Amino acid sequence: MTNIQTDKVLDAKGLACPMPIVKTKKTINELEPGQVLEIEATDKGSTADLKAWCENTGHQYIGTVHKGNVIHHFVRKGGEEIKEIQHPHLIDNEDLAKKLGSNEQIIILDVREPSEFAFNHIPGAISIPFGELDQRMSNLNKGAEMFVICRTGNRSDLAAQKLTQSGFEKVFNVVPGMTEWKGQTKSLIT
Amino acid sequence: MSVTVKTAKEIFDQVLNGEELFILDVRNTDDFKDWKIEGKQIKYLNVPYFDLIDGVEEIMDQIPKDKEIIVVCAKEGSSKMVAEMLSDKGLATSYLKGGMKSWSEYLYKKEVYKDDKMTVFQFVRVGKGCLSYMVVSGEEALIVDPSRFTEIYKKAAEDEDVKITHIVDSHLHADHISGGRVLAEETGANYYLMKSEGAVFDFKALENYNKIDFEQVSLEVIAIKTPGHTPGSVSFFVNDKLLFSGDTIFVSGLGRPDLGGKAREWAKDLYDTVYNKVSQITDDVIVLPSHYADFEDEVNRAGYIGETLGEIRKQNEIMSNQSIEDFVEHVAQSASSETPPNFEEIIGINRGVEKAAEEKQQELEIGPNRCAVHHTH
Repeated sequence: MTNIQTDKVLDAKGLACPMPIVKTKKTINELEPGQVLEIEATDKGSTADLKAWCENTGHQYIGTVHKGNVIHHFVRKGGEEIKEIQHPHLIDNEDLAKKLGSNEQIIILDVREPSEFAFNHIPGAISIPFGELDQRMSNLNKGAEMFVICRTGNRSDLAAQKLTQSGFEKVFNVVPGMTEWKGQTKSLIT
Repeated sequence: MSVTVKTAKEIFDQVLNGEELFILDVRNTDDFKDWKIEGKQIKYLNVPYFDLIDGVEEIMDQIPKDKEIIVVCAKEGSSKMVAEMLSDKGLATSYLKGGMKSWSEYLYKKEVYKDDKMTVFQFVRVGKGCLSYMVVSGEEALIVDPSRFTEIYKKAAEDEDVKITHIVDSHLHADHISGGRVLAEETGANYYLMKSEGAVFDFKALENYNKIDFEQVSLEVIAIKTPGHTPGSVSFFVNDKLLFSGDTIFVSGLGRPDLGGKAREWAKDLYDTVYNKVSQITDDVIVLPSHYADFEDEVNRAGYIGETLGEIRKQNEIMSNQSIEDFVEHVAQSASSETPPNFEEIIGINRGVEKAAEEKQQELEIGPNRCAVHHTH
């Protein structure tokens, strides 16, 4: 186990190809779209194969951590319904980068899953996964300018709507989000 | 139908016989593009095993019903799974034992020369395009550019009832791990390498030898400063009959100049080799290189990789009547940006600076041969 929070952990240690992928495929069926599976494996070929499998199947390969002899892969299940972006206040990546450069006091709220955040995020961003936003938004300052970001702008759109409904006043959805982010990033993976 | 298991040797024999094979390669697409079992009579289909976990129905129309189907993967497990699925559909199917890993490690042995003084064998590493040699004379044997599969040379020596007494490396290899040092430890043989290559263990420096003599063989060291892959590579001229050319002259062209990062400098040294040293060697001498690019293109009628110097000169205008400027320009332009996989680590191991367990060595060596990327004509 790593200390990265996921929705399920699959033990595929000691299994040779093709079993890590066969088991991953089976296990991911038990998850909801958007949930994250951690796969513990020892087969070194599993990294390249898992990446390629994710590409072919529409799952999101988040990353891999090596700890001792164990390889930990993180995969987010695909197949989420993609809605049209509704929150009216948008900011693109470049403008957010400029704001960051200007030393303004701003809050960047990253609503992706903890594992996605762990592999790369904008330095200083706060991590609250979308699923935990309801419980944790009371810790945030309602009056502050807030820039909500996710991977492609969909989860952040839903989060921005939710925050606005809850009385937050200056909420912006960052588009397209982390997939195209060219600025500095930080990782929690050592 | 039952599934049969095939060894790398069995499949290579089929390739040699020109048999028409159908290979279903179930590795991921990048690996397949990178390297595969080569053969002019082979038809390929590449579908990653992870797209076939639910069954082979979707690819059945792409698979011939009248040919033997060989399924291959990286290590064996996935090809076995897919072969069993195809077999359940009633197709004659086999899979490669040990996967592409075993293909990368298979050596094919072939006698290339024999006279009353010596017999010479070539070992073809078919999965990587590397060549090594054994020169047998009287009760002794000399090994040229051994791979890390030292058992194979010891067995070959045993079959000839000789003792391995000398081992030479023509240069510090960048694409595969040399077996020279280990084989020397195991057999007590002398191991020779150019000192300028930077190895940090005990060996005999080729700089100190003009010749290596044993039994009825005299191996002349043609040491020219040729910093190609690394600072010093040499050729060996044996009994005025054979030229072990290392990575300087291949059957279909000259060596690549780029791995040392000094293409032009190396090209000048190569010019010196070709025009001042090799030009003194007669046309009937057989060139035996340490690499090839395409087995079926380069194999000769006798069934090994090698060609007379005269023929190579004829095929490569660049080897005669060129000004040094034109030659350097031509060679430097052939510099490629494609390097052998993991070459820096492999060089480190061959110098004795880095160590790696066997599994790591396998991993580093897996993949295509990119040393013999060369120009022709």
